[in-house]
Amino acid sequence: MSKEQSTNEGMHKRRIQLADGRYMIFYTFDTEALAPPYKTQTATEQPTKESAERENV
Amino acid sequence: MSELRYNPLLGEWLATATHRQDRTFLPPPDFCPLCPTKPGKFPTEVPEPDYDIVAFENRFPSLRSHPEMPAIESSGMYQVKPSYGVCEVVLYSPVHTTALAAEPVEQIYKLVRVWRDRFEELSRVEFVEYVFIFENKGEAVGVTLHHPHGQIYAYPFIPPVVKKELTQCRHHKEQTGSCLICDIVENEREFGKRIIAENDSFAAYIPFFARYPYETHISTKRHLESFQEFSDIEEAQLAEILKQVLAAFDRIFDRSFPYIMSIHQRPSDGKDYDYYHFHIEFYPPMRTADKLKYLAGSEAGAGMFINDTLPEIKAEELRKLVTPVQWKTRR
Repeated sequence: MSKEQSTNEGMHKRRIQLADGRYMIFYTFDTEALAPPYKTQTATEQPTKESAERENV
Repeated sequence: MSELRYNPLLGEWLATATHRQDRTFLPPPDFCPLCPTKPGKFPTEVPEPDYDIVAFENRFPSLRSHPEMPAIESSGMYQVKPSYGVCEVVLYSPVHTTALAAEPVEQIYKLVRVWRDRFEELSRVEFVEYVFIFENKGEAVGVTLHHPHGQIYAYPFIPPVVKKELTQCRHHKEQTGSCLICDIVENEREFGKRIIAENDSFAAYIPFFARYPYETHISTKRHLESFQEFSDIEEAQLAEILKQVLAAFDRIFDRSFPYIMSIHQRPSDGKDYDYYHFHIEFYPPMRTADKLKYLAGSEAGAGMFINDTLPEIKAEELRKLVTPVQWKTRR
């Protein structure tokens, strides 16, 4: 597998080539890049059935 | 084997892709090809033990960047050409049992940034004229793999539905001097009863002309043609309104709600489309908790949809289920 990497303001891309020639790109993010660029609401979000299940995983 | 054939009756291209008959169909969770490959376990399509968001070329593509020659030659009115294009799969999460609606808003924000990156990269591919980002969710719309994922098709032409919207938007601009979708958003906001959710950058609504009971559109309030013109704030606020709409969908019947999501942006052929406007369309097939809206005679054979519900009533139902979004990550 060959690899190539690049970054864009807190978002990182790592590109690999699979055995059959297809590309696959892994995206990762810096934690600080996940905050919205404005003041956020403080109200508590009502969880959906699925999100509640996921939080329990 | 795949190729593009032209339908002279409708004036549009379609793809044949016979190899897709053999694609993986609803495998058990332990053999999901889109999960990470765990040490000592079944080798999936993703050769790493974990990931955040991944985009890759579809193993069973309808379109390819290096397509084979068509099985038959063009003849008279029957045109055929190699199926140039790119088909990507985008994995939203390594967790098999989640869905976009259940993900925290931060994960949806990441996905918006990935969508933008894929749009920009695929738009630069020489033969690509349109980048279409979409998601099929749920067996009711034909999903063959339950792992949370979407897809991207980079077409060598502008697909028919978008072409029709472009024509309508261009005519409206010529006749009125304004953008059709800007006018729709203004009209829906002024009327109010079909609005589901809003923030500074986006409006979500069931349009006046909805064909499905819960057909929902999310449009930018600014006149933007594609992800490429989004500000940082618009990227984050798209994540917020998506979270609100998708979570509301799941609350309608207290179940994971199936839908087709289509992201409509300007084409990538280098021409001017200043009359077009970024928006997302959801086509959920459910009309009640246990009944589906099928495309039957009038819809499939004549193209006229019959909606058994009123958008004003369905929008009110959804609006009551929208709740505020809380970011866990703050500046």
